[in-house]
Amino acid sequence: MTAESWEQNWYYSALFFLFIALAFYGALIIKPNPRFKEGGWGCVVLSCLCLIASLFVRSQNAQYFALSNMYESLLTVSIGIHLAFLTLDRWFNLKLLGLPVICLLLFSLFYNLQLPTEIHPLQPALQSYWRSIHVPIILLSYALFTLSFISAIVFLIKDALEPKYQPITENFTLMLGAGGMPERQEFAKLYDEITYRCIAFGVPLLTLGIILGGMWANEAWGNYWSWDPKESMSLVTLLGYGVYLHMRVSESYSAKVLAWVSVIGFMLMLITYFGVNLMGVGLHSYGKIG
Amino acid sequence: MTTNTIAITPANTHSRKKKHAAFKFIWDTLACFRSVQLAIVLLVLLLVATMLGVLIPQHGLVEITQIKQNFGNNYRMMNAMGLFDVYSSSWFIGLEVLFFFNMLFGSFQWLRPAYMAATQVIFKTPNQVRTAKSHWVFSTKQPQQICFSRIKTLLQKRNYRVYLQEQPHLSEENQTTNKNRSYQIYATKAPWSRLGPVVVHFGIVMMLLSSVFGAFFGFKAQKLVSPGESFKIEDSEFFKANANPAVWLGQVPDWRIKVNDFKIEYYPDNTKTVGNAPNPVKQYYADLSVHSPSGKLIKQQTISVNHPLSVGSTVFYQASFKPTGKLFLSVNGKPRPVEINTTFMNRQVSYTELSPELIMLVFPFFVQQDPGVQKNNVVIFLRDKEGFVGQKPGQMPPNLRLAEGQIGTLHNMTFEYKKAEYATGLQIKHGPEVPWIYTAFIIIAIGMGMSIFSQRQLWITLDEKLPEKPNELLVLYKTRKAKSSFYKELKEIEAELKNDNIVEKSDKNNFNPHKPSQEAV
Ligand code: HEM
Repeated sequence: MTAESWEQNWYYSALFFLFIALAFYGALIIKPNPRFKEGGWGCVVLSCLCLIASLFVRSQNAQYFALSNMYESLLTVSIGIHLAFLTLDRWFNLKLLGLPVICLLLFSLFYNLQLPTEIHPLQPALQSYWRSIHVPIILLSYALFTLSFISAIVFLIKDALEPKYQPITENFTLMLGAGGMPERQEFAKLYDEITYRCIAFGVPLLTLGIILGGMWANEAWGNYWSWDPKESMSLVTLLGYGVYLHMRVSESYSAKVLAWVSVIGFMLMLITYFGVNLMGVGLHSYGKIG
Repeated sequence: MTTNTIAITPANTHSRKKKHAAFKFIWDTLACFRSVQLAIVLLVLLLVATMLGVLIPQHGLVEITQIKQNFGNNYRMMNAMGLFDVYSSSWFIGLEVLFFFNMLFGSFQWLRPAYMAATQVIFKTPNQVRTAKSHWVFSTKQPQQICFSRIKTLLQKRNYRVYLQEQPHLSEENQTTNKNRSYQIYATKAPWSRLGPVVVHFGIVMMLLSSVFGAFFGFKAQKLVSPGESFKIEDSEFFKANANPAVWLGQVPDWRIKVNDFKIEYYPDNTKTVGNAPNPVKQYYADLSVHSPSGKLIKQQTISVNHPLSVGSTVFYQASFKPTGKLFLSVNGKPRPVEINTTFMNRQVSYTELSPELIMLVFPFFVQQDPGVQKNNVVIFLRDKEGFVGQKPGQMPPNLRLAEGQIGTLHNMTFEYKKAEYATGLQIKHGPEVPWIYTAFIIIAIGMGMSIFSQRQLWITLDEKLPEKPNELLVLYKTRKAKSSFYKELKEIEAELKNDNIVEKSDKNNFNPHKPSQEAV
């Protein structure tokens, strides 16, 4: 079998495992059985490994770390979402987050399939070890922001739907642990906190990514900052999440307001990630679709 | 937040009062610069301003004529408002200055409480715990000593730093018990995380200051140089000091820089490319040597994209390349370099006399300039007194198309096109601030890393009751961020304490952080 077909086989296997995970996490919402959870989690692990394998085969084939066009970039973000979700799910023992996360993963991986996938030689500016540090770090922060967004949406929906002070059985540890029934407030706080934690991890990563980008630009062009649209927009995203963090530490805004601010932050991130490429001006035109 | 109150006793003189009032006025005026609320407002304003610069086409990125066309009559007004040069407009810089002072004063103000929280070990008495908002009460039958040594190991296992104190009782209610000692625990985890934000803000302040320093001392220049030529930085086609020349304090080095060689490397011919694009450039190299005015060699290095040459804070980058117009040909085996020296039917051509009767016209085509060209090539025509050699009426004159490296014959002569000469586009940058900026970057990154964590604090004391009643174990817990994870950990600690019989298993006072304590005031 050729390297290309191996690359595809791994990719499709990942999709296959994600569908099984979808079934598990769907069942979990109907019936909170820890076994569904274990099954779902395990499938996400397998899917993650398959995607890593696919990217690895592709990199071998291209003879450079395959992270130079939209297809590869979206694949890397998806791997990041897998990793972040696996960690969060273990950490907080969640019930509701799995389903929307897996739906989103499936959507983006299917969307990705119709992007051009040919391997092209690297242009001079991209032949640098900085590329293999700068880009993945930023993409990992995007993955975290995506999770913060999903968690904020789950929070907002639940917040709107749930009658006040109805006992909920969201968090398994709290449910099965020594304590009594946690209250609705606790559930809301939990998703609020997941949003916060993702942002609290994402912001340092994005900052580091932007800083490394600056160092790379200084090495390649002699400018660590040139107000190029992609740069400016990534700064806008960072400022957006900066607003979120400061609103949070000021302790004078409700969780609902904060959730909306994080949704705006995610929109800014989407503009940075897709929008600027569509405009097609500036130095970062490598990521153009097609 | 700490507030500064100045105690003024009647003994104070009038003038001192006035001094205090002045001081207080300044302090209060600065106070608005310190607030997080202002930081939020400024961050939002900066965000909107930066985004305007992305959405509105900017000078330098988009052609002026195109911008004028797009905005028509609004152009002049919008230009006056700086909307086409957002990032260098006075209002954007003003916003940055405000931001700078906000952060400077804000960080100073937060340094002390953050440092205190990170380093101070404070113990709390049962009464202090009882009156705090978030606390938790258990009854225990265990003697103090066992109780506390068990709690201590339990917390240490969870990576808490635990401080244990034995203290004589002072509170009134305990005097009836005749016991005269109590244990108190202060435990904390990740206290240094409190310093994270301060470190971040310090880093940002340092970054902004460094960039101001760079504005006063740095410059940028661009120069196109053919191989074999040399130049001085001051002769560059483009030279720009980072600040207005009237206030610029920097100096331009007086070195002479020679380009010894320049070459372009292409990917192999069979490389897959987008559409039917020409063979992509893999890398390009210029060999530079930098000499002092007296001619002494300071440094020599071959540069390429991503691999610049630096002498102190001055760096030479490989930025671009451009055909010089010189073409290396050979005619009948003899080298015959020619230059583009005129135009013919709107095309740049080289017009060379091979002999008094015979003229060679060379039309060059370059990959980087002419659409659809796969490889540099030339088309050669020969002319004599009568016109194009061998031309038949109504037909294209006989000609020879040669790609780089090809040989061909025309009119019984052999021609070879060896290559086109390229000049290297150098970008020169003098940035004495760069090491400071990088240091600031590292500080920001470290501070951000520290801020991810959230400090957890626990105060545990035992309130001893009369012998027949069980003692009360009081726990005060505090964290500013990441509350759910902390509560989860507290639940686990509760379970362990119950398992160990430190706390009564049947205790109805389950840890429930969201239920307001009955005892709370
Ligand atoms: C306008 C000036 C600014 C002021 C007055 C300000 C003020 C503050 C304050 C008071 C805190 C809380 C400190 C604490 O929790 O101990 C804070 C936290 C923080 N600030 Fe700023 N800040 C400013 C700008 C920025 C900027 C531009 C960034 C970078 C994006 C930034 C990054 C952070 C981070 C990462 C935290 C920690 C947040 C957390 O603990 O979750 N700040 N800031």
